[in-house]
Amino acid sequence: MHSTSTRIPGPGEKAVSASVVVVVAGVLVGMFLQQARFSPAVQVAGALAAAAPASVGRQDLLSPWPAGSAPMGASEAFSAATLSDKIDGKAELYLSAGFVRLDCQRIRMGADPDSWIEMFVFDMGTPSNAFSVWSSQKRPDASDAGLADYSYRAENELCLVHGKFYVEMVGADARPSTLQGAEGLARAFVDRTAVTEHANMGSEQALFPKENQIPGSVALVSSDVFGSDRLKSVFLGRYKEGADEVTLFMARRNAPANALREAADLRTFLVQDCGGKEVAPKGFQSPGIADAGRTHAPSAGALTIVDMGGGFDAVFVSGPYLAGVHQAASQAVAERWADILRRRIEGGPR
Amino acid sequence: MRITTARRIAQGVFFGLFVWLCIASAVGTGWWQWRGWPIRWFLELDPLVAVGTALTTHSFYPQLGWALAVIVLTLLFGRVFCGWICPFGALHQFTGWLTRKWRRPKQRIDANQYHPAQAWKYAILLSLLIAAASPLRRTAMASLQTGLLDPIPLIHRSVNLAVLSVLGIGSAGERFYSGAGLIGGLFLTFVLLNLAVPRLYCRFVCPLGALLGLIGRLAPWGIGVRKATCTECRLCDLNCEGACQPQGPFHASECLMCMNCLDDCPSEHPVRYLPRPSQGGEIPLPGISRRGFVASVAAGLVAVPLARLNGSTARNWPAGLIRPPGAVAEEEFLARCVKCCECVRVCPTNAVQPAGFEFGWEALWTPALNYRIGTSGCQLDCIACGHACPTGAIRPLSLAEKRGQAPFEDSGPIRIGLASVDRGRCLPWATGRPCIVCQETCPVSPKAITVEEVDQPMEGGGTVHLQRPMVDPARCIGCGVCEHECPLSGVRGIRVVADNETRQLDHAVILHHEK
Amino acid sequence: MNAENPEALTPRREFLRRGLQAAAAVAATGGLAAWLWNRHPPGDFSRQAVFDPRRDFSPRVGGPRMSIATGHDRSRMLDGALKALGGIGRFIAPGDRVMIKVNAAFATPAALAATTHPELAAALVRLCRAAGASSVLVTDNPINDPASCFELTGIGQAVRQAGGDLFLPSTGAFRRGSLPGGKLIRNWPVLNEPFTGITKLIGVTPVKNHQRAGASMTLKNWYGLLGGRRNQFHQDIDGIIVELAMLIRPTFVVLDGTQSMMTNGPTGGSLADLKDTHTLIVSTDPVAADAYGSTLLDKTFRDLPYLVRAAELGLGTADFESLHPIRVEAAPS
Repeated sequence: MHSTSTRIPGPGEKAVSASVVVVVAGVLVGMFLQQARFSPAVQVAGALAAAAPASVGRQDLLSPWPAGSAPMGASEAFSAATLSDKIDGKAELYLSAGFVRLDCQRIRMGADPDSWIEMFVFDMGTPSNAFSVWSSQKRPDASDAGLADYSYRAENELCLVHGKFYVEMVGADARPSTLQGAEGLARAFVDRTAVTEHANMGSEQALFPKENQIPGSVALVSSDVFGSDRLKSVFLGRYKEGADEVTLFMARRNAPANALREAADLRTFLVQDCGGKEVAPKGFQSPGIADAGRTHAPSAGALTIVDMGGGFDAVFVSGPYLAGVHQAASQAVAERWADILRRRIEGGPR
Repeated sequence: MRITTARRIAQGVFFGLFVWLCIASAVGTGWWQWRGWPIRWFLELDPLVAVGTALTTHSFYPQLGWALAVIVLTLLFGRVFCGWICPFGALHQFTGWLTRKWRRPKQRIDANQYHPAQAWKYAILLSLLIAAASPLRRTAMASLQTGLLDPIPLIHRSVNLAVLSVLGIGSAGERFYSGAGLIGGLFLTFVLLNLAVPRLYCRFVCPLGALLGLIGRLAPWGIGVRKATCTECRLCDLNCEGACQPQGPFHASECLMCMNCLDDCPSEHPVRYLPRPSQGGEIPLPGISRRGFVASVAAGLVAVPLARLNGSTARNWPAGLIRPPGAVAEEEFLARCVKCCECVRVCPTNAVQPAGFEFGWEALWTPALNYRIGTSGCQLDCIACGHACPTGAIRPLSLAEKRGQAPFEDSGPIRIGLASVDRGRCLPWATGRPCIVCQETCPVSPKAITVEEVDQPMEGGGTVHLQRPMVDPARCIGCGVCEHECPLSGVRGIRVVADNETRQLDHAVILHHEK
Repeated sequence: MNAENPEALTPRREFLRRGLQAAAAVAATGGLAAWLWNRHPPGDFSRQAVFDPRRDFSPRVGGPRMSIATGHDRSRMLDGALKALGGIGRFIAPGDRVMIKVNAAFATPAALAATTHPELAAALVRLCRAAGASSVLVTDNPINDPASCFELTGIGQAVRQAGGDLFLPSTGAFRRGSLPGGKLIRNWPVLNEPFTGITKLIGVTPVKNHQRAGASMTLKNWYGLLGGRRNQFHQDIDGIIVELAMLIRPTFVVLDGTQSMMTNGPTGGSLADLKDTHTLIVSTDPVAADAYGSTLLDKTFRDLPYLVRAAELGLGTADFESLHPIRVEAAPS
C-alpha cells in the first residue's frame, strides 16, 4: 500500500473520491431501508407463525404442583389441528371422540431429575366423550384407583375422568414413588378443577351381566362401532364363553324409535356391507316376544341373527335400548347371550 | 482523499455487504435473517447474468435492471465494477496483497506484466455467449452455462454453501450440501492461486471481466501517460492489479481501474487518469489467436446441441430431477439458471441441493430436491426459493398459487413430483409390520396417502391388523415429507420422482381437465 | 488507433468522438433493454401464445355430402363414390396443395387392415394429381416409429410411386395450441409444420373396432395429429375424439370398409379379426361416415358414445340417411 506515496490529490480527484464515498454510503442507507420491507417469502412465513394458536398450557389446569415437585420445561397446549404434533398417530383416537384441547406439562417429582411425570389434560367436550376415551384405553391389567369419576392405575400411569376432562399421568418410570406422586397430582387436580357435569355411565355399565365378564372389559366406543360409520357411542363388554370370547353390546338411546332405527341400520350394515346372511332365530325364549322366522326390519322385541361367516351376531331392541351379541361362536351361543342380556335390560340390574 | 482510498473504502464496504447478505440469507424476521435484505442484489448487478439471460430467452428480465446501471457505468468509465464493486475481485486483490512482502519489487513488477494468456477469458466468454445464443438450435431455448465461471454466482455459491457451512455461520441448525466439496475446492483453488499471480482469476479466467473489458472499449477516459515526463521506471507496474502496463502500450481492456499506478508513479506523475487514448499507445483489446478464436466458436456452437443429444430435455429426461416449486419448464430453466445456489441457501429445510453430474453436465449446480439430506421435505407453506432466484428460473410464487387457492383453484396446487410406495420395502407391505408414518405426516388436506386395511395372518397363528399406504396421484404434490419421514432410512419405502410435475405438461401422469 | 500515429485527430476531437460513441452506446443499451423488456413472468402458461390449432378445409362447392360404394376393388369403389359426389374436381382444384391424413399408426402389413391400405392411399394421390394439385403430402404421427410404420405398411412406397410426398413428423413439427371450448387439448402439441400452405385435407382410414372407444374410424383418425404423451387421453377417449372433431374440418373423408376389423381393434393382428364388408364410404361429414361405418361393425351409432356427443354438439349428422347418401355399385375388377 501507499502510505509512503507523496502524491497530493487535485480538487477533481478529491471531489470524485468524496462522491464515491457518498454513493457507497447511500447504498448502505438504501440497504438499511430495504431490510425493513420484508420479502414476501418472509411475510408468508411470519404470518403463518403468528396464526398458530398460543401454545402455552392453561395454568389453571396444570398448576399449582404439590410441594416438592417442580415443572420441567414449558407447558404446552394443542388444538385438534396440532394434536398429532404431540402424540402423532394416537391423535386419531381422541379426535374421533370429540377432542377439544390438550394441555400438558412435565413435572419433576422430588429431587431426582430422572423421576418425572407428564400430565396430559384432555378437554373432551363432554363427560361421555371423556369416559369413552378412558374406557377404550383401559389396559386389562388396570386396577381401580378410586379417584374422581372413574380412574385406573397401571404400571407407570394413572388415568382418570373428571367431568369433561380425561387426565393421563404418565410416569417416566414404574417406581412406586413416581406413581404416588402421580396420585398426589391427580387429587390436587380434581380438588381444584370445578366441573359442571359428571359422566354417569353407571346405568348402562351396571346392566351388563356380571357372570363370565372379563374384568375391566366394559368400554364405551364412541364411533365406528364394528366398523360402521353410522354406529356411535355403544358400550361393549367381553365375556368368556368356554375357550372363546364373546362380545355383548348395549346402548341406551333417547327414544325407542331411535333405537329401532339404529337396529335397522346395523342389520343393513351387517348384511350388505359385511356380507352376512340373515338366518331365522331358532329358539329364543323370553316373555312378550313376538314371532321367530320373520326376516324384515326388527320390530320391538324381535331378534335378528346374522351369520357373518366367522361368527354369529345378534341384534335386538328393548325399549330405548339397542343391544345384542357380536362374534359368537355359534347361533346357539348368540341366542343364549342375547337372552341373558335382554333379561338384564328388562329386569334391571341383578 | 486520494482516489485509491475511496476505492479501498468501496471494495471493503461492498465485500462486507456481500458477506452480510450471504449470512442473512435465511428465512426469518430477526435482524440477522432475511427480513427485507435484498439478497439478490449483487446477482442483479451482474451484467453477464443480464446479457446471458437476454441471449437465451430473447427477453430482459426486469429484476436485472441494476445490470443496466453497471453497463452504463462501464461504458463511461471502464472496468470500475471489477476494481471497486466485485466482491470476488476484492477477495483476489486482498489475497494477492498479502503476498507483497514475499517478493522483491522487481519480482512484483514482473508478475504484473501483461501476459498473452489474458486473452483466454475472452475466448471463454465467446464460447459461453455463443452457447447461450446457440444459433445451431432448431427449437426452444439455449443453455446458460455462464454461471460456471461468472464470478458473482461463483462467489455466492462458494460462500453460501461451502465457506459459511464450514465456519458454522448463518443457519440455525446443521446444513448439508451435496457436492460442496467440489464447489469449495474450486473456490479455494482460485483464491490460493493469487499467491502465485495476483488476481490470476480476474486476468485469465473471468468471463464477466472480459465482457466489461469489451463494453469499456468506448470509455472516453482511462489511465494514460504523459510521454514527455515518463522516465519508463516501470513503478506503475508495481501494484498494477490488471497487468495492463500503464506506461504503454496500454492494454485498455485489462485495466481494472484500481488507480494504484497513480500513487506509484513518482515525481512529476506522468501516469494519470486522462482522456483516451493514452499517449503511450493503446491496445484496446487483446488479440485472440485465430486458432483460439476458431476453437472457442466451435466449442460454443456445438456444446449445447451435443449436450442435448443425451435426451435429458426430451424422452430421456431424468426422473430423479425434482425441481423446486415454481421452476419453469426444463428447457427454459436451463436457459435461466445461473447456478448461483441462492435457492439452495434459503431453503429452510435444506432439501434443495446443487445437482452434481448425475442429471447431465448441463444441470451441474442447478437446484434439485433431495428428501433425505434435509430436515424435512418441501414445506407446504414456504415460497422462499422463488423469491431468492435472480433470473426467474424459479418464479416468485404467491402462496395462493403454490397451494392452488383462490384465484388459482382451476390450475390446482403446484406439483413437483409424485410419491410411490415401494411395496418391496415398505414395512406393512413387505414385512407385515404396522407403520403409517407416511400417511400421518402427509401435509395436504385431504391426504394424498390413503390406507388399505388388511388383517394379515402371522407366522405362528393369529393375525396382525395392517394399514398399507397407497398414494393418490390426483392429490400428491411431491413434497417429499413422506419420503423424509419413512423409517427405512437407507432406501426409503416411499420415494418421490418427478412424474406429474405441473411445470412440464408432458410429464403428467393422470388426465387433468382444466375447469 | 495505434501507437505510431497519435496525431490522427486532435486530442479534443478524439475525446469528443469517444464521448459521443459512449453516449450512443448508453442510449443503445437502454433501447435494447426496453425492446427486450420482459413484461410477462417467465414460465407463465396462461400468457403463452394461445395458438388456435383449429383447421377448416371444408369444401366450398356444394353438392351431395355422402356416397356409399360397394364392391371388391378399392380403386374402383373410390372412383365410383367420388363420381357420385361430383368427381374429384369438385374438391381439388388446379394448384391446390393437398394433405392426405392416412392411418399409419402401426408398423403392420397391409393385409392385417390395421392401417390405411396402400392401394387406396396411392389411388387418392393419383386422383389429386390428376385434378391438378401442385403437391400431395401424406402424413401421420404414428404410435410406433414413423419411418418403419410408413415402410412396413407399404404406404410409403405406394405414395412415392404415385407421385406424392411423405412427411415424417419430428418434435419440431408440433406446436402447442389450445382448442377453444376444449378441456383436453389445452397447451397441447398439435402437428403444425406440414400444414403450411395446405389448401385441402383428406382423411382416409379403415373401419376398425376399438377396445376403449368402440370403434376407430374417420374421427379417431385425427388422433394422429396430436403429439406429446397423448396416450393420457385414453382416460377420456370419448372426450378427446369429440375435441378432434372440433379441431379439424376436412375436405372429405374416405372410410375404407372393404374389410372391417371386427374384434381386437385397433391393432388386430390376425386375419380372423377381419370380415369382408365390401364397402367404401366417401363423405364431407365425418360423423355421418362413422355412423354408417358402425353398421359394418354390427353396431349402431348409438353404441358409440363419442359419436352421440359429436352429433349432439352439431359437429355432424349421425342420422346419415337424412343426408340422402348415394349408393353405387362398383364394377367388378
